Amino acid sequence: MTLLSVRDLGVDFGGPPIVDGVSFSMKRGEIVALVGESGSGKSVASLALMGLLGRGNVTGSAMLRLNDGRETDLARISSRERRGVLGRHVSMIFQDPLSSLDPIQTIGAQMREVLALHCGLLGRKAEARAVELLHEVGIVDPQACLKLIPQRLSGGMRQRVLIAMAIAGEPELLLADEPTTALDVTVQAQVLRLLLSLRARSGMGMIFITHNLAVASSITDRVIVLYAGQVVEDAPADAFFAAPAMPYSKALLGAAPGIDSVFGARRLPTLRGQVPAPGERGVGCRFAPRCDAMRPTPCQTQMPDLQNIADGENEVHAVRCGRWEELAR
Amino acid sequence: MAEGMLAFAARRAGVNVLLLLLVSLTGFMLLHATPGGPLAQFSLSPGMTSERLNQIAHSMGLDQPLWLQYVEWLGGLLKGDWGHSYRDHAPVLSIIVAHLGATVELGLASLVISFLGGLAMGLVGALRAGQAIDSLCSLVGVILLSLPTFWLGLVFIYFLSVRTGWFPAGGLMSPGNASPVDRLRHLALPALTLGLVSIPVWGAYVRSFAGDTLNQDHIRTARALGVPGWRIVLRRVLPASLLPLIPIAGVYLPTLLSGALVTETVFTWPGVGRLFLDSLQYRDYPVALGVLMFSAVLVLICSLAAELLHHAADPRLRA
Repeated sequence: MTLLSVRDLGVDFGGPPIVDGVSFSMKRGEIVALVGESGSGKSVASLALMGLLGRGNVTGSAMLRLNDGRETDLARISSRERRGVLGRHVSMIFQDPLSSLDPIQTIGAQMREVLALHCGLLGRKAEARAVELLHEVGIVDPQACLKLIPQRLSGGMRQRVLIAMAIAGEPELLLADEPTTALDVTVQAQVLRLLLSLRARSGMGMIFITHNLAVASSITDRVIVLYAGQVVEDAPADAFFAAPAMPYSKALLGAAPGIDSVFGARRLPTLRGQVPAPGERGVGCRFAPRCDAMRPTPCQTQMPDLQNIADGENEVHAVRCGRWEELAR
Repeated sequence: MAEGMLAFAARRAGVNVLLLLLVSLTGFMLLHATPGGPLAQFSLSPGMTSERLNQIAHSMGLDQPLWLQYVEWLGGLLKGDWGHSYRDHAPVLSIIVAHLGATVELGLASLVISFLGGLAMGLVGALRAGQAIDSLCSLVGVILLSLPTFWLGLVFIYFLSVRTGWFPAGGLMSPGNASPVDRLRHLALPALTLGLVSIPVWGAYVRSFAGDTLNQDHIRTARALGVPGWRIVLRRVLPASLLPLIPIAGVYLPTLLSGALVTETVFTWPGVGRLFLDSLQYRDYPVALGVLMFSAVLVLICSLAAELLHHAADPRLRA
């Protein structure tokens, strides 16, 4: 069953769109990776869904189906309605766990605030639930942890605490914006495992925003690649990592460091150039200037559509490339 | 942890004693280096002879070498004998204490006005950063800051006292009227004058601290978890903005408690500030030096207390 259906989501700050006609949908309990370089619009798109942009115009729709069957459009609900949705139906964790907790309140105070807000729990009950949640996210001594201020915790522990706070309201959807980027590699793996086990237990869907394909490959069910504000490929993880269709995806995969590139002699290929700024986009494919497979026509003359190339009836593997068929041969 | 605190307090106390010595020495020497001197007022009296003048100088100890005068004065200070006023021979300490009540009353009242006003102005500015009301707040701040205290005081006296008769023009209370209402009515104008001109100072600090806090990641986290805006301000922005104000208050408070010279003069407020000006005018060295030392001690006590309070209030400093 569909959990979130994003249609034609656009974000601009008075100039050319930063997020440009982004559409995708995800099922309940699905983990979707939103992948792209800096400047691709992935963070802006997720903040727009959360209503955390501050300023900026958001267009299009993002229908979220709640557990009770109601639907709410994250792209256009009022800020009052949004407060009833955030934390309870949609939560978010961020890149930098070091600065994402209030430095002068104890972990306990910050958790009790969320528990009172979303679960109506106060006093002893809130305390007990906080201990339970911290235990669930793998904090060894939850009782002691509650009395500490964030400064006393490691980055990995803080991200666990933040995850515990994010899932306290048992949301249907969790947005995770580079949640492991600031962590040690070993801790990264632990946090990823934790997120997977939480999904398995609660069935919450997750949008995992990352620029790191290795991280994405270890957790995701679907991969959605963003480039210059547009979706350029949307594919099941298996199909994506086996045979990406869009040249940009191929280049990204090629540029991702794997075991062989760390220990082997292979020199890591790099992707030349950078994402064009919103004002410098041509009329054709936005990746064309950097693409090895570029042909003047159609690549520079016409913006390719996002077309579904999946074999099966109910499957989605969408790609935005005018030459994908030639290239697949 | 407690030992660290104790060592900190002990070190600070040592430094403070040195500072006080320095203040006493420079204060004493500066005052005695000024022309005129305490004998000037006697020398103009009719029928004064130089013999009589020497007698007076001898009785006041003014004929002794300066260093000896200093040592004797310092020794007295340490024993709690701050000397006697040249004017009415009353003990200096009891004169200061007699004037302290009025100063504390005015100081605290103006502090409440300026702090609450500054808090409101700073928070509004930070929460509506870049909007019209933010610009309005800074404009009002600049205007208040550039108002001369004596002028503002005179304006208040003219419009709210002389023209309308709503408030008394000066003094601590009406003669023979000890009601709290009467005292408050006397307090209103000087407290408002002193408070208003200090609002932008607090406002600027709060605006800056609250603005910094609002830009921090943990505010975004709280929003993402659905915490309502008023709660974010109350539980996160306010405490984070108040904590760094504690040491600043420690510096600011003694300037209030050692007397607001201008305001006390304009409103004939019998506080420590007025006492200091008067004693300078009359070359009443013991009283002037007494007020000076009293202010120095206040500065040190307040800043030490503020630092201890800051340590106790900020959990990050306790770890």
